[in-house]
Amino acid sequence: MSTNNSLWRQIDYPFLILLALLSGLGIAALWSASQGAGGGQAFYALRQLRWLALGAGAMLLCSLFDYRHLYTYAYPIYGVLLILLLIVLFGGTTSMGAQRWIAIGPLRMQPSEFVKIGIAITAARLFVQEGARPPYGLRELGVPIIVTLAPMGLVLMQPDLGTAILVGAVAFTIALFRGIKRKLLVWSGILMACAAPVFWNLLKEYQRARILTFLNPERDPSGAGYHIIQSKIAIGSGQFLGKGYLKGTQSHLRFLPERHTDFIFSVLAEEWGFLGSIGVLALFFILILWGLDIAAKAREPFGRLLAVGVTSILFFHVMVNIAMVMGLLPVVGVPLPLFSYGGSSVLTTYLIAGILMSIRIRRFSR
Amino acid sequence: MIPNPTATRSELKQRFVFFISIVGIVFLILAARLFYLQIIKGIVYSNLSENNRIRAERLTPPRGMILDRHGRILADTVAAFDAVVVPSELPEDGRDDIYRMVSELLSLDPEEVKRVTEEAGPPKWKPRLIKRQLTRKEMAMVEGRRIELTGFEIVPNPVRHYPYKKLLAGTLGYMGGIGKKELNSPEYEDYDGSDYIGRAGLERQWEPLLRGEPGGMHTEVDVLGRKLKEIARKPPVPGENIYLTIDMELQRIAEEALGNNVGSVVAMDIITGELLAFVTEPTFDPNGLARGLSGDEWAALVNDTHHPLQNRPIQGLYAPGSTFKVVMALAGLAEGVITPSTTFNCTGALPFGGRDYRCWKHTGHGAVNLEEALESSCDVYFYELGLLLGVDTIHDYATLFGLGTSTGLTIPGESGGLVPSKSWKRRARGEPWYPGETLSVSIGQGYLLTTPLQLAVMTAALSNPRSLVMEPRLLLKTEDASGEVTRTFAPRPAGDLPFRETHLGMVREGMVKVVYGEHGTGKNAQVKGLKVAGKTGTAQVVSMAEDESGIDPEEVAWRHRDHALFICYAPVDDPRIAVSVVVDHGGHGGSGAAPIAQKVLEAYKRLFIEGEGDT
Repeated sequence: MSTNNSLWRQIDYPFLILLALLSGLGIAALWSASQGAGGGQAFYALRQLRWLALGAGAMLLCSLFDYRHLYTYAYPIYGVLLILLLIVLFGGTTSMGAQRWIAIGPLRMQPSEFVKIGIAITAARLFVQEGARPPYGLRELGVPIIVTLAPMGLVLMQPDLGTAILVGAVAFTIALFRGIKRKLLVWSGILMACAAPVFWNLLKEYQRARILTFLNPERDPSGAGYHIIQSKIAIGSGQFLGKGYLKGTQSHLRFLPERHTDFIFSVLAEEWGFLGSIGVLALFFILILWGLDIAAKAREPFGRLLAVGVTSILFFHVMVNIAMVMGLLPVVGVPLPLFSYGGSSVLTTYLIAGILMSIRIRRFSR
Repeated sequence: MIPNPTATRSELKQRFVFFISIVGIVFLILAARLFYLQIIKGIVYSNLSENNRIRAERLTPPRGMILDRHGRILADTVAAFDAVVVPSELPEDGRDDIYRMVSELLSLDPEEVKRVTEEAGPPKWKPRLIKRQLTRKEMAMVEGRRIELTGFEIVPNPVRHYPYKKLLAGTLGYMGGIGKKELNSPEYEDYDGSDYIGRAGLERQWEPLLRGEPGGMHTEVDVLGRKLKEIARKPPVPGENIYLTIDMELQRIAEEALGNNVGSVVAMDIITGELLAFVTEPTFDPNGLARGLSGDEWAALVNDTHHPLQNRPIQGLYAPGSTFKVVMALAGLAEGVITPSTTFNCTGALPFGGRDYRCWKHTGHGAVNLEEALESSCDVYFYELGLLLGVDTIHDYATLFGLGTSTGLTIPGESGGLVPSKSWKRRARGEPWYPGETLSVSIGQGYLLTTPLQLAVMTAALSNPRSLVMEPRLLLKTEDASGEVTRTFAPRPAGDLPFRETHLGMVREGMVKVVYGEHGTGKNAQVKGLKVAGKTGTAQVVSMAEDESGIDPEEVAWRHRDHALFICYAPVDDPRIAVSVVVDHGGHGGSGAAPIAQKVLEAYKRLFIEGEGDT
């Protein structure tokens, strides 16, 4: 057994610095984005700072906590999350037409955020337990698929298409890491192509509108298409060096929608230019590679799969959000980790960092 | 202990290489897109953002018109202007001063203007309604202080206009500003707070068709909000025009004929089912409703004891009274329980089940056959006939004429009426049918309830040369903005009558006698040069629902008076028009309703038969 002292020495300082850098840039961007917003400029940034402090505490606890216990508690965690999702569906608060929140005292939480981590833990355990050697076919993947579809369905019913797809993507990433039979991949690809029309019909009207608008923004210039067009103007007008911090016109004239949440990347791209935004992109790239490095050096398969899973959550968020604000993907409402305003998102990101740290610290322990 | 399935080093390495490549490719794409937007297209976007701003506007299509069968305009739109605010364009400082100034110019409450402007919810770049239908003076004052009132604007928002005012108002319906509740409902998903919606009648039923599809536009605007260039546009699709089957001239004459009475007139083409006149009185001026009534005006309209918002031809429920006797006669002949020569002796009343069922003529008609019974509307004859038929048989025949179900007219709120039967009473009242009740039904009283429209349909059916029960129709055709016909509505039979021609002939002959016979009750319907067949009806007002204490005694007396009914068709030898008239508390059908039908038939003859009107 390693002593506490040796644990401290194992702390991954570059990883911490990376997190601090991104968090700091996030607060700076948020400060600029909330210029002129209701409640004064400091409102969002200060609240975000509070969440960051809370997140850092959660990360610390998580790193001290031996991630291998997560193996033991995987199913109870999964069960509790399913129950929370059911509570949200039948007793949650409605906000913007979707049931996503439950209130516990003064705290409002969004269980669907934590489902992403929950599915990473559960899937990691399921695959570690699997006796057969990869690559896997349908026989081995049956149980994981059902285990993934249950929370996906509940999240979809809220309705929160973005999170539901993310939950599926995390589970798929873990399975892919273990190895899936090529034939199965091809066939499921064909099946999904065939099921697409059916799925299309299941979508809510506004979700369909978003996809149609993405394919052709001019289709609805006064509605959803407006967001994409304005966001592209904001980003593009930043050019190489940007308009300068706090000098973005698009965002401060309030042409940008949701500029302190989903579209915050447009704000920083406008003000910091290509140089600044490519820098932020690079930091995220390094963060994700770091996560994969933690996975590669993990002591045993559970830690490795868990690290891959939680890293993929970060990856998908960054990819979908940035692609969305640049008009490469439909607007689905996925926040940019550490930049978008929002307690649940900050907490999730720091929990992920905590889990990664816990795996990193214990890479030599037995 | 956690299981530890092994994977070889090389396998693992392969996996990581694969994953890192995917992550690398994704970030490369994102970086390339950034490069494209910021470096390659940077100047373009920079120009867009720097001096100019983009404003999104909705393009509201013109609402379709409603026209009569000859193309006379019954509903169109006229220019009107609203004041709106675009919250995102309001300056950060000095907002309260702006609110105060706007409120002064438009006589509004500054707190309310502030609330609307700063309310969370709709996007800040979307205009929000401040005040509808500005006066010229208000517009001039706002325009004059445009520079100071950044963010506030005057926008065109045409308002509905009904050139014929009250004529046909109950059927056309009316428009009103959309409410909060509707805005949040999926039915009105793409509506704005400043929109008007159809609130009743055809305006409501055909709302999507009349409205068309709104478009949108992106324009570059300068700091003062002047439009510089259009960037994107989705043109609106104009609403379609609706042509009605109504002849507005006949409608006008029918409304005038009804005058100050409370009641309804329905005129229907026997062959096609087209409704030529559709009158309800009293009614309202939809222009006032479109402009927006004050609270008091609205309350007066809703609380009026004569219910001007009700469309009586489809919503008024009346006992058909003696007009129902034509159905009874046909049922009796078809069932073979009577022949034309069967006579019953009327002594002024029929004793049954321990009480006397009276004939309207207390001295009695003596021995009467079918034709005489129809002509003089003898109640005892039909009591006897009813006993021979039984209520369920009566129910079955009445249903053939479309009574008891709504006709499916394309306006909301139609009542189906009620044709009672034994099973209905068990179901609805939990009681058995009492034979005495059959007697009431036999003379069109009791539980039996019909709408004036159903009576017109019934009359048209029994005079239809092919015995068809035609579905009544209000719509002739629709056309798009370019005048292209998009829909036509063909005549549609809802069913047919199984009666023998000789039986129909007898009843029709009886109806001729009603108008021309020595003892005929409907002589007031005679028209020079047009042979008319008809049947009077006088429906007793049995129960009073409302509390009458404190109401003018004259009004109370009026309320206890019988309803006057008259149904007729013409010309007898080539039936083309069926008319039903119901006058609430109009007394006897022959005196209260027949003269009104006479005026309508006279006008029909002039407009349609003498070739001035119809094609």
